[in-house]
Amino acid sequence: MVRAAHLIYTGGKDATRCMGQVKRRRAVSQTRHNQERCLLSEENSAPTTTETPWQYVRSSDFAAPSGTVQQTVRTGLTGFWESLRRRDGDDESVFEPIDNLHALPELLLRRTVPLLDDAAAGNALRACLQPWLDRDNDEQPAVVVLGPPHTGGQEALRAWQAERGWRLIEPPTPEQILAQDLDWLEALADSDGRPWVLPALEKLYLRHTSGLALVRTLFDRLWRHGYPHGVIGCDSWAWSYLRYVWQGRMPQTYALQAFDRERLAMWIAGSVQGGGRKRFVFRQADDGAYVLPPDLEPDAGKTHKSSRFLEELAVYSHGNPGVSATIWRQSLQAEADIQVEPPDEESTAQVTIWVTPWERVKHPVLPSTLPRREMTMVLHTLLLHGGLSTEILPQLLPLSTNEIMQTMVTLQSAGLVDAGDDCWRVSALGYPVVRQVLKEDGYLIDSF
Amino acid sequence: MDLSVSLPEFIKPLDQGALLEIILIVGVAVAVVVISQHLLPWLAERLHGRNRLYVLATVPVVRLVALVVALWLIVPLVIEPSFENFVALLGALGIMLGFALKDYVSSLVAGIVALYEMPYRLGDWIEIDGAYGEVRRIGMRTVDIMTPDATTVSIPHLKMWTSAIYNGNDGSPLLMCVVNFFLQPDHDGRYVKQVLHDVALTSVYVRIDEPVIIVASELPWGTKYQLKAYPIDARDQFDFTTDLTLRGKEQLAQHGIAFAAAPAIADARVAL
Repeated sequence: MVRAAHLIYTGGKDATRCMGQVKRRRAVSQTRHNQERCLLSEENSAPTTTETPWQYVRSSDFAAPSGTVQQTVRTGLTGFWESLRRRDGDDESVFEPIDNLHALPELLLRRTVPLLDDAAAGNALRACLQPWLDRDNDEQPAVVVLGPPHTGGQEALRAWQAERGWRLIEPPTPEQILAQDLDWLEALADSDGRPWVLPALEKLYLRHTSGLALVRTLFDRLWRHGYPHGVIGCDSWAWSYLRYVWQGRMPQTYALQAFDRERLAMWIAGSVQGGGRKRFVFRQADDGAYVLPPDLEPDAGKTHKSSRFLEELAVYSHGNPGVSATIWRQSLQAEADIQVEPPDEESTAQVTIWVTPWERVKHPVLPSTLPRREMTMVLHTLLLHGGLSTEILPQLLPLSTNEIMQTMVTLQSAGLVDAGDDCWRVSALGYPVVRQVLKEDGYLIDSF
Repeated sequence: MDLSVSLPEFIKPLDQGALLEIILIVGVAVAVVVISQHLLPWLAERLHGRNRLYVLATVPVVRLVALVVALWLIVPLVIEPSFENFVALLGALGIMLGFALKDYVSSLVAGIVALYEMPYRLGDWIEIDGAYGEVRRIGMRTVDIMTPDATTVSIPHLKMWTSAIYNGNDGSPLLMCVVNFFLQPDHDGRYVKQVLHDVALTSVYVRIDEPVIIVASELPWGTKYQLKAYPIDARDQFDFTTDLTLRGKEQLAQHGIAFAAAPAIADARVAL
C-alpha cells in the first residue's frame, strides 16, 4: 500500500490531497480488480493482497496503454487550468531550465533504473496459474505464457520453474529443428508424470520449409499423447506466426499485463525508494515538473506540477517494462556536482535527478542507406524467432551472407539491433521503432 | 469593303486587366497541377501499404479540380455569361472537336471518366492490351505504366472504351501472385500440396494473414499446381514469385518429385 501511495500526486492542499486519496483508492482498487479478474476467471476466489506492478492476465485481457482523444483533451484542459492558476501567483516561482546536465554516473544509474524482477514476475505468474494448477488438467494439458521481447518472460518462467522444481525443457538446436528430429519431443514424456516448463517456444521452430514439423507435432501431441502437464513460454511475435502454422486447437494463453503509467510509477518508485532511502527526486529538466511524486511535508501547502513523461513512456513502449526501463535509463541526467556516494542512513538530503523532456528523448530511426525492404525483412525475421545467430540467418532469408552482415552492421550502428552470444536481437531501444515500421509496412505483428 | 474579322457576339473584348487575370488563373492552375504531381508522389513514396495508395489516388483528382476551377473562372471573363452564349459556344466547340480532335477529346473524356469509375489508380498493377505494369502517372490523355523491365508504356485512356483492363490489386495493397509447378503425374498430391503450402508460409515476402491457395489440375502430360498467395507489398511480386519458385523447386526435388517437361519435348519432336 505504501508503494501504491506514489501512484497519484496532485498537490499538497487538503482538497487536492483528498482527491488524490480517492484516485489512489480507485487505482489500487483497479489493480486489485485486475488481479482478481485473472483468478475469478479461473473460478478461484482467492485474491492476492500484494501490491505489485507485475500481473499476468489472460492474453485477451491485455490492455496496452493508449493516449485516447479523451485523455488528450483532459490533459490539455488540465494544463490550461494549471497555467491559469500559475498566473494567479498561487504556485511556485518560475522554473529556470537546468543547463550543463550530464549523463548519470553508473553508480546512480544502478540505483535509479529499475530492473526486471524475475521473482516478482514469477510470483505473479504463480497467482495467475494457480487455478489451472489446482484443477484436473486433462482438458488443458498445457498453458502458454506470452511475452513481447524485453519483458523478461523467459526469465520469469525459469524462476517459477526453479521454485516449483518442475522439469526444465531446453529447446532443440537449429540443426535438430531443420532435421525434423521428432525424437526430441520425447523429452516431454516422463514415466513419473512430472510436469514440465518449456520457456522458449520460439526456439522450437524456424521459418523454413523444414523448420515447422517439430512445433506442429508438439501441438498435435499435446492433446492426445498423454504428456504430463506443462507450461510453455513463447515470444509474442512467434505466437502470432505459429497461429498460422498450426490452425488446430491451441492452449489457453496468458500474458504480462502492460505497464501503464501507474504501474511504471509503482515499479520505478518501488525499485528506487524501496530500500528505505527516499532521497531521489525525479524532475523534468525543462520545467521542473515532478516525474515521480516528491516527499511532501504534510503541511507544506504547495502544489507541484506533475510531468506526463511516464504516460508518454508507457504509451510509446506499449507497456513493455524492459523497453520503458531502457528509455528511462537513457533519459536520466544530473548536474555535474551531483553527490554519487549515498548519504548515511540518518541523512534526509534529497538528490534531484533530471529527466529529459519526452519531446527531446532521442529514438533510433531506420537508416536510409540500405533498401528498406532488406532491413525490414531481417528485423521481422529476428523478431519472429526471438533473435537468431549469424549462421542460421542465411538459411531463412533470400539474401547472401554478405548482404545480411552488411544489413546487421548498419542496423547495429543505428541502435536497432544488439549482438550478444553470437545472437542478433532487436534492441530494447529500437523495439518500438521497429514494431511501428513493420506495422506500417504491412508485416505480421504481435498483439502486444 | 470591310476586311476586318469580327469576333462572335458572345465573346467579350479582352482588355488588359482581363488578360492579366486569365494569365494569373492559368498560372496558378498550372502551378497547382505541377506541384501536386511532384509533391504528392514524393510524399507517397515515404508511405507504405494502403496509405501510399491513398495519397497517390489524390493526384489526378487535384488536377481535375484545378482544371475545373480554372475554367469556371476563365469562361465568364471571355464570354457573356448567358444561356444562349453557352449553347453557341458549346455547339461551335462540339463541331470543331468532333471532326478534328475526336480521338484526342475522347481520351480526355475517358480520362475524366477514369477518375470516376477508377478502373486504375496510381500504384495499381494493370494489364491493357498485353502491357503489364504499375500505374505511375494518370495524365489528361494517357495513363503511364512502368513494366517489370523498367519500360514506361503510355496508353491512351481511349482504350478504356474498347479494351479489357486487368487490375491486379484494384486500389488495395493486396495483389495475388500465382506460381506454376508442372510435375510428373506419379506422386503423392496431398504431400505436394503440403510442401507448397509451407513454401508460401515460410516466405519472407508473404502476407501471412491472407489465404494461401493451391490449385491442382491434371494435364495429359503431368500435373499442374498453382500456388497462389499475396506478397506484403505489391511491388515485391517478382521477388516473391522468384522466392516461391526457387524454394518450391528445391523442396520438391529434395523429396524426389520429378518435374514434367513433356510439352517442350513434344514440341521439339514436332518441329523436327
